[in-house]
Amino acid sequence: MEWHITINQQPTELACVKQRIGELLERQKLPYAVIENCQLIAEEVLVNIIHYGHPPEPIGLSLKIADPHLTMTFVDGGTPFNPLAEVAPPDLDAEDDARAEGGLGFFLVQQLADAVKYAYRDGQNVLTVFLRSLP
Amino acid sequence: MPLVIDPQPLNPSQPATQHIYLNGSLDTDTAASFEEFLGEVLPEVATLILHLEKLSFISSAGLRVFAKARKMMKGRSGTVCFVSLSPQVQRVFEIVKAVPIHEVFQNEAELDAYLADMQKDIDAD
Repeated sequence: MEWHITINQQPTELACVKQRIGELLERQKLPYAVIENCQLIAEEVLVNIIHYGHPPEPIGLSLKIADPHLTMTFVDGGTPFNPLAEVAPPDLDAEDDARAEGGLGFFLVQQLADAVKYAYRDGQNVLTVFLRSLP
Repeated sequence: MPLVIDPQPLNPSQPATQHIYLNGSLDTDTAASFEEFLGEVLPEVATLILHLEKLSFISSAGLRVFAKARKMMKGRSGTVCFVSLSPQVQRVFEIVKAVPIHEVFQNEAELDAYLADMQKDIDAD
């Protein structure tokens, strides 16, 4: 089962995307924890893409379920940006000020996912996040 | 999902303690409203008690404003207590070790015991 969502870079769009993911995955009877993880991953990745990549066109998100695997693929035509290489991991032992900077969002994505892969293909950033559809 | 910030009136016997109930989602869209609210917390308040039972979702943007609240209260020699975390918030807190565990309370009873202890210390001074 596969769905495609197109994300314009309007400020209101993040809430819509999370709601859409919630509706789609609830219909598939996925556990609530998995749905929340997908919503968090979507927010963190999209914020990164918009912040660093400034893509000229809408961002594409594909969701694919093939039990027990769930895949989220983000495609954007912005500046080449590989978060796996370019986002420094947060220093979790640092004091509040330092640790709250930068990489916390992408760190969450990596912790929630089984794997994250990046490729730059045909002028597009392709970030694929692999998860499990079961908790 | 929006965020509803519901601050309780200050209790005259504990004027430095502010209870706040959060309801909804603390994320990229709503973090600014909580940050704005922090700016309006009265200067005599040194302990913020955040009741999070109905905060169903937090992202890194929300963690950043929580860190800001902790820094702000630390600057007043106070603290922030995080009470009754929802499952999603609990998971995110654990992954990033968001706050020291002694600032997290499983439920109201645990918090009440802590506050009673704190009051005893104040009375003893």
